[in-house]
Amino acid sequence: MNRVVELNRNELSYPPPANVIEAAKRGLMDSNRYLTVSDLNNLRKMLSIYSNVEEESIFLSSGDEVLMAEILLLFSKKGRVIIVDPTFFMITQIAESLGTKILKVKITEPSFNLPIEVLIEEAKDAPLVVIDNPNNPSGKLLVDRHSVDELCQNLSGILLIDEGYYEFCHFSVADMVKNYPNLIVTRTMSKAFGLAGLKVGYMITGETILEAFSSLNLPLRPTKSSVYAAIEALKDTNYMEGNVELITKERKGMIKEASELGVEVYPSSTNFLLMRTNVPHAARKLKELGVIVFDPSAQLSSEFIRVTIGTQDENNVFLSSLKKILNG
Amino acid sequence: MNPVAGMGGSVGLKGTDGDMHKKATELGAKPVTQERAREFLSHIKNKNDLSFFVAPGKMGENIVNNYNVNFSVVSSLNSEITSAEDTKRIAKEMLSQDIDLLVFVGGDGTARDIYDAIGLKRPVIGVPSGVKMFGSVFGVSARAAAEIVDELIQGNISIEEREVLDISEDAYREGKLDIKLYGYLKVPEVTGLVQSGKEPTRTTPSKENQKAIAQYIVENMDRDTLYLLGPGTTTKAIADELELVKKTPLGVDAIYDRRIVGENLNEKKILDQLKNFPKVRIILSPIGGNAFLLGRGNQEFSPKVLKLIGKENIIVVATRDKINKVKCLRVDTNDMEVDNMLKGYIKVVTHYNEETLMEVT
Repeated sequence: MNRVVELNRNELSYPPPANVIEAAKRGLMDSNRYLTVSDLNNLRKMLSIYSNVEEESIFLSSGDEVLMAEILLLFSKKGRVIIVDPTFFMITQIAESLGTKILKVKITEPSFNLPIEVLIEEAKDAPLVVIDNPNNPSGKLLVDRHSVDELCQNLSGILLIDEGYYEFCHFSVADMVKNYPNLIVTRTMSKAFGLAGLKVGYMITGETILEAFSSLNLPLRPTKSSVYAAIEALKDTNYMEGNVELITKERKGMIKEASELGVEVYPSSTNFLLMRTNVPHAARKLKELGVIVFDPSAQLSSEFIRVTIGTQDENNVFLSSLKKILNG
Repeated sequence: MNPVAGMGGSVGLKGTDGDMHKKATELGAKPVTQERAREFLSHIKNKNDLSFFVAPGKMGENIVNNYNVNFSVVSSLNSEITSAEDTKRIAKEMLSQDIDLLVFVGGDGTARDIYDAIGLKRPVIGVPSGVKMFGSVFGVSARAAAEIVDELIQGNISIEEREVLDISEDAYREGKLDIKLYGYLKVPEVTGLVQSGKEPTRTTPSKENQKAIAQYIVENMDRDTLYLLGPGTTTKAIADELELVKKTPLGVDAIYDRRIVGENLNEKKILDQLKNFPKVRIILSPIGGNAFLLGRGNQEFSPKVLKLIGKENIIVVATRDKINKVKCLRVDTNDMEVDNMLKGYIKVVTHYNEETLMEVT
């Protein structure tokens, strides 16, 4: 096998800019010392400006997955947790391992619409509802501001909205945390900012929930290198925005070309595309050709693949391999 | 190979059960099984690692002969015209050859013949070549069936019991679907254990999933409620969990206080039971590849029964894998009012402590 193209983890295919790498190095040079409170506060301040929310409403962590896991652990004890199906595989995996009751609300092709009214009815007494918005793997924005209003007003529990792909859709409900004490928004710098290996995540929420997390402040914080790099990346978001533009353009081309091959491609507000081929075990067949895409067969049937938008070159390799598996 | 399977499709006969293939030939239908068999054989990558036992003449030998594979012919044909009896006889004889997998090329009718001949004694995969193929014992295509053979060689499979359906061709020709559950065949299922970098796909083996569902249902059973347990392998797992040895595989049994109080009930017997028990719930699993919840294979739950019991007393169970493969559940009870009552959303128990909210259309 020659070259392996990895388009399975929704990472950015471009490395961080030199100044961000330099900042991470500075953190590394000083890594015999713990991160200071002022470093953490600096990052919180930068993120509050970037997200247009109060600094006090931001809680930092080493990646958004760990936050989701903690939220699920903390708030799932009193009853049935509600998640979307399919959803970010980590949410499903954590929820299934909790030993608590789960209700999965199935969303299906071609629309992948979330039945909000039915969800509200079911969620009234649920301690926690988790929605990834946009949804992974469908790429669809599942809730709008009105739905979030309705959900927050009708739930007795917590609504967690994961905005891991916010930069690609420019849609957020983060500002709504000031109206709803039961709303949590989680975000990451692993995707558009390209810091997946450094793991910087954050949640935006109100006082009550932050109170529940106060003892986790220290154990969940990111590393010094991660914090330095994140601060540097937020100082100038042009690089990130340029990459998002590039990916959006590439995404458009991928949709066109894959559709021309006869593959069903679903609209996406993210840096990945969900596709339905007519080939069973499509992900595995692509892997045999050296192209690794995400295999969503634990949640959808095996003809589906989820492919990250990579560089133009990577995308072309994917498309030609896709053509090969379609032609058998 | 059923040499006449699929011939009815192009000439609008809906099938070739019985003598209908003669009519299909008169109408100019061309055999399709041979083409499907070729497609199947040419897509098996590891055919040189296999020993084939093939049916004689046009039931297999004539096609396999064109490939450079190791094969021996099982049995012989008494006449130029083959029949369901030949399929059954040869399938039975193949059992004595210590085969790992029986591959048949045909449709639902052929699947029933194979079931009659070998039951659950060996894994089976159907190369789809019939007209209807509502059953779920077929590969999605001839090529997919070939891939299952390759996977079997590599050991990447689990075995599941899948439904063989009995569809009345006469009714089908009149535009009606009269489907009954005929039995189960063991079918290899390619496991989704594909490791794609960091992100693993997690599939729970079907048996384990069924057991988890069964445990959940049994733990939550009320002692003062009569449970009507419908057909299916997941409902069978519930009977097993209750240690009930006599669950009717294709019919409805009544359970009260963890004991069977009625076996293989028809509509009338169910209605009688309803008179005796104030609290009654139905436990159902979607049937076949089309995710029919009611109206296919479980007509014992008639519109009258369903009206009396009500949607809120229907418990639906299905494995995650089954649910992943369908967009929604379907109902077709022949009664618009009952269908409308059942439509909307329903919760399906998909694991221990886990339900999936699904649309019913």
